[in-house]
Amino acid sequence: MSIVTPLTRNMRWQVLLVMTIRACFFLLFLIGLNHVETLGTNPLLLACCSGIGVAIASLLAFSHLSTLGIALLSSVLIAGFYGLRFVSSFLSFEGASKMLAPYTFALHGEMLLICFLIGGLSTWLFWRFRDTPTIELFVLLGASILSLSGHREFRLDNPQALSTLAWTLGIDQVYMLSIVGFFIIITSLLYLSLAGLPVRQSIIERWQHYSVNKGYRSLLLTGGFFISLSLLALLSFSTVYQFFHKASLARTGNGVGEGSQEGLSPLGFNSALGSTNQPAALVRLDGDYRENPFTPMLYIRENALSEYNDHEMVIADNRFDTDIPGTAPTEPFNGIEDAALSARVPLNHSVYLLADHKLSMAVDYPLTIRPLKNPNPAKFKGSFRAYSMAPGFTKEIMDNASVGDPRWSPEIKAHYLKTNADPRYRELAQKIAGLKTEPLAQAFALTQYLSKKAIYTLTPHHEVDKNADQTAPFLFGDLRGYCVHFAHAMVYMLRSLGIPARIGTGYLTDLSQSKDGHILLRMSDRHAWAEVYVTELGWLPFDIQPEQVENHADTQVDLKLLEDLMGLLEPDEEILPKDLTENEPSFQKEWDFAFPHLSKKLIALAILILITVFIILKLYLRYGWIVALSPKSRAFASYRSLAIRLSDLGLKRHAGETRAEYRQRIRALTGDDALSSTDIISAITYRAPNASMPSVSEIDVRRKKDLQTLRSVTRLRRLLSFLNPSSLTSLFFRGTW
Amino acid sequence: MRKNNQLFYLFLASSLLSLPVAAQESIVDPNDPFTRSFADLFDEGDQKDAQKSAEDLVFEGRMLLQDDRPLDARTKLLLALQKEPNNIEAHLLLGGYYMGDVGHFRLALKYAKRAEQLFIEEHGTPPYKDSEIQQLHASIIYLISQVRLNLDDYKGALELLDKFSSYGYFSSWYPGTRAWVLMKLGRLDEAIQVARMGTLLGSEPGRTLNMLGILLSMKGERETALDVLKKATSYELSLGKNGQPATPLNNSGEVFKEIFADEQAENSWSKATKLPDGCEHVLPSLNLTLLYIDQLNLTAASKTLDSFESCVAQFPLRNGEEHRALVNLARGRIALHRGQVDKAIEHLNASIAGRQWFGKIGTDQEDLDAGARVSLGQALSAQSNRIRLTARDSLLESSSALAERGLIALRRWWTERRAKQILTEELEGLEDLNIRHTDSLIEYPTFGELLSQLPLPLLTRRLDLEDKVDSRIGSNPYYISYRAAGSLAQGDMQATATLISQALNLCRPQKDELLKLSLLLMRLSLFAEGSLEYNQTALKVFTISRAALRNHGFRLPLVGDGLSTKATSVLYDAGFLIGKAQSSPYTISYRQEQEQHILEIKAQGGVISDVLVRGGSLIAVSKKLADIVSVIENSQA
Repeated sequence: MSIVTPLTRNMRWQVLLVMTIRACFFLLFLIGLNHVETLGTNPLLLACCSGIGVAIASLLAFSHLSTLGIALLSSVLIAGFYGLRFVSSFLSFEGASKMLAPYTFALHGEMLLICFLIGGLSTWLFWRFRDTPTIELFVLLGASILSLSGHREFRLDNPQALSTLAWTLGIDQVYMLSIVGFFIIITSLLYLSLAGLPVRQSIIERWQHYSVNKGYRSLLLTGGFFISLSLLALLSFSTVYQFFHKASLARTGNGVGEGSQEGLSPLGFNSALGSTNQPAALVRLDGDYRENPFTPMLYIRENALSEYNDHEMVIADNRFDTDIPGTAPTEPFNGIEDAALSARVPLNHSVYLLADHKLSMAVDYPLTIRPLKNPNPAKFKGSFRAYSMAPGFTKEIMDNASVGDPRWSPEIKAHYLKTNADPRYRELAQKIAGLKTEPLAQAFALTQYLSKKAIYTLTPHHEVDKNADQTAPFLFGDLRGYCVHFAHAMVYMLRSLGIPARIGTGYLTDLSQSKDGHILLRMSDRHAWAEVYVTELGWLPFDIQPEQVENHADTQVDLKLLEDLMGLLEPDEEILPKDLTENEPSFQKEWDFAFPHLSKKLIALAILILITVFIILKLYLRYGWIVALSPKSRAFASYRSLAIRLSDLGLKRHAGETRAEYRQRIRALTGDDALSSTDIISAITYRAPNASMPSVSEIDVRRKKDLQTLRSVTRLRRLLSFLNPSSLTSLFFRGTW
Repeated sequence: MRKNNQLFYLFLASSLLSLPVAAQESIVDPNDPFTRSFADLFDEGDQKDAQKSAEDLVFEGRMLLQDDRPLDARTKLLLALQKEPNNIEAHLLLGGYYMGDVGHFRLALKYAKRAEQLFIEEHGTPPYKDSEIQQLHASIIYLISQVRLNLDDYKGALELLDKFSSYGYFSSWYPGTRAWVLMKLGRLDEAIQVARMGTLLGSEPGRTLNMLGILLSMKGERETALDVLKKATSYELSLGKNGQPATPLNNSGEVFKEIFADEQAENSWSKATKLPDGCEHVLPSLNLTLLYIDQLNLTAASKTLDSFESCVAQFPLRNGEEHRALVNLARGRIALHRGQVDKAIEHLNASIAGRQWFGKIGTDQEDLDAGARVSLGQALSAQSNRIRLTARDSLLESSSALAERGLIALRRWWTERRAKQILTEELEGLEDLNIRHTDSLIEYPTFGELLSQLPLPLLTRRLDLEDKVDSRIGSNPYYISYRAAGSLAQGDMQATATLISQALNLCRPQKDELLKLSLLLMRLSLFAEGSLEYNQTALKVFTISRAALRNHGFRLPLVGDGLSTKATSVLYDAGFLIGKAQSSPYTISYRQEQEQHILEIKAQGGVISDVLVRGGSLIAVSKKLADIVSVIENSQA
């Protein structure tokens, strides 16, 4: 193999650097990929093959071999492999395992070949084609954007690998996202600087010099490039479309927000706030609560909406709903036990908040809520323990129960019965209730009606004025809505029949997804439901369970996360020492790599230092002439300032190019003489021994003129060029700009 | 699992020992291990507990566990440990609770190991002379071995069992457990020996007989296995409420299925699922579901899973983690055969991602992975076919669909590649090829689709090998169908047609419906679209399953009633083949009424009744019609 381009020592280092970085990228990529999806073949072996591909392609790139030649070589390799595989299928061995061994071997071989070819061909394209880095970067950034797009709408648990890493490092998931984003940007910039290495420029230009049939090749390349880009664009479009389509379905959890102000409602009719699987809290039950009448569901109440403000239900003032603590998670609460209530059982439970909450929540009725010291401030936002008198009634009790509390004053009674003035609510309620006279039988009839007829959807799209009745288009229209619509419709109809009702808000969780009494509440578990005051039983949920579901955001609980969180509440070392399971094989991690625990401040500081150094260096290279006092140094600093700007704009001075040639090239390309300062540099460099130096003012005039010429470039482009690290990397790798 | 614990009896015995424990100066609450004292921590409901001694709390905890109030018990035992961190019995009970009630084996192992550590600190290293101390030590070893077994650490479990016997301990559970561990380690002959010895000694007869039955069936001695399992069932039934007949019944069902006695298998599993100890166990329900899927009785399959899940929902302590992957696998297959492809992919992905507990099943993670991936490959193929058979009105939509199909093809290639790798490498040279293999979770009737990707000479030799060792008549149509799939992939139409006819003749009516469907689909690909043979076969396929044609990219033949060329073309794109003189019982017409496009299918017999679809455009209506015709909703049979 004859080398077309003689490589200097410096160039050889550059080639080695590219090879190492590309091989390392493949190694990291394959290890990461294997973590997400088992590859079936050792990722280190695959990375080795990619590395070999990178090395061979890098060497071949400097030979006479054309791209067509490399394509032929690859085809021969592929054909040879599959030919060999076919021949091997005729080999006869005794026994099932041995018989299939060549095929199994070929499956591994296929993966190795793929990795070899991807490593090799991508590296070949990197060396030989100017636009390859742009496409590679496009693919890499596209993949990053797609995989990180799950973080939108607070889907912080998606992708799960990052979420897990955030948990492992003990940092906030939003910080994690920022860090990953930062590293992607840095990696991309570094990659761009690799693309700007002189050795690459040199091989591209030299190869163009040697190549034949330029027109044909150019046409082929342009066509190929266009087709690749179109395909990529189509793929991206299709995936992004699908993502947005799905995201719009998953986005609207259930419309339950956290507002806690009197006279306002935390509920939304058109843009639900509950946002899918973001972990909200961990609840730990300290008792069996076998009497739970809603098994396997559990209602955890946060607030109640009992005031009707002529278009929706809102939070009432503190004369009403006294059973609701309404306290912040950091505040203690002491309720008064209502001795008149029966069929209630004591229940102790602790709540560990994973997202900020303005109000504490508990199984109703909480009698005491006491803040607990946070067992792990890195993971939990706060914690408290609640002691509640939870419902423990049976169906039989409900059969003979009446509604309302005889102790209520007329004012309170009127408050819980004030309803929508629209007569259609009463008419419909009476129609549904039919001949039933018992209030609870009527209430059950209403729940059954809505459960059967209404369709649960996260995208109801009712176009109603904000201050108008949002429930009517649902109940008297298409019957499509989510819990907020259901709860409002129920309360209006219940009240119209004289049944005291209100809306309860908080979480509804499925105990069948709990473990050891630990329940992971997600934002998608946020819920609103209608409640009826049943005499001697108190406020009880009368919730709708729609039989027809158009779409919903419900997904299964992340059991791994639940178990991790449970682990944080395990007894301390005094009870269970850490070394207990040291030698147990089931406790050995497959990938025994512990991430160093870095504090948020340290990470932020490191990022800040990096950015600051970058900005200072850039400023120095651009405005260094200010501190250059002698005419000679001022002249060179001024020239550097101009050349740096040009380089950042993509007009880099080539290796071996003289200043005069560079000036001419720029002039030819842009039509402007942006490097008239070259004259000054030449005058200084080639002046006679006794000749005078150009004056500082002369140097400054030239620089200003040149800078004025550069102003013809748009402001945005100039601003973006400041972020281009190319000049800095040239400085490091070439020792010049 | 919950009531299967002999542990509590052992614990009860062990608790008779009065074990002196060192008083602790500092007391830490696991709920709030940092600052608070008990009095601050516990409210009205448990103030009294704070005043009690550790021994009293452990006693109450034990009683509560027996009374099936595990969370109350857990709280009391943790409180006891705050008071006395070295209380051996509290550790042991918590270990048993986390193993038996919660299924949190890693935490169970921590408590059990701590109990062992404290025990040795207090009593020194074994052997011990005192029989009560021996009994407690035996309990600890038993607990650790059980936890290791559940964590799939069979070697570790066997080490402990060896230790157990080396100290001269013996307990009735020992032979059954040892046989199980040996089976998991692949030492079948030794396992049978131990199980036989166990039955002779009369130790836990039901469990040991059940174990022996499983081992014998694995050895291929199916008739003997059925006898033994029958005895095990009778024994368990004789125990009344305390018996666990569902387990041997489930295993009998598996053996019946292996010998193609489908009715008996169905009876065994149906009976098992109706028993109190069987309804909450995934295996009988799963096996029954898979059998119904083979028969294409999707309603029954779905109902079986629904009953199982509603039964499990009664136990709020368990989140179903141990069976979720298997349920997802079955649900995914049902959805696929119903034409609900997106749902199928969702379930099958969840099945692959889920963690499955295999401590008590002969199956392992690779079996599940292989089964789920084979089905996922089929689901992806169906998804791609359904996208292809969709009418579109813009170039952008078509291009986007093309790109989407490209991605699906890539995913399918990857999924099937991994499936083949697992099957050929990790599962002992395609051991799952043996039809209805005990451990396998493969869907045998449709397995040919994947097998056809193997080189034909290799597939033929491997099938020849299987033919030699498998004398069951019921398995013949399956092997022939795989040969046909291989021939079809090679393009040998003549051989394919012959093999398909042979296999179809051997299919049992109603029992092998899915296999029959699979064979007919293969036959369909031999004919040119629109030919008489094509139309007849396609209608036969449609009669068996409405979803299958579109899943496999075939068009449904319809008779057109005055359709325009445009309507015919749009319907062709949407997966309908319009002809004039076909023998299809379905006639399609198209009309426009008040800016509404209407497509109507009139059926004269056949599996669908009249269908009328309205919409804003012909394309939209054709899509809707295709979905109505080829997707079987859950409420439909």
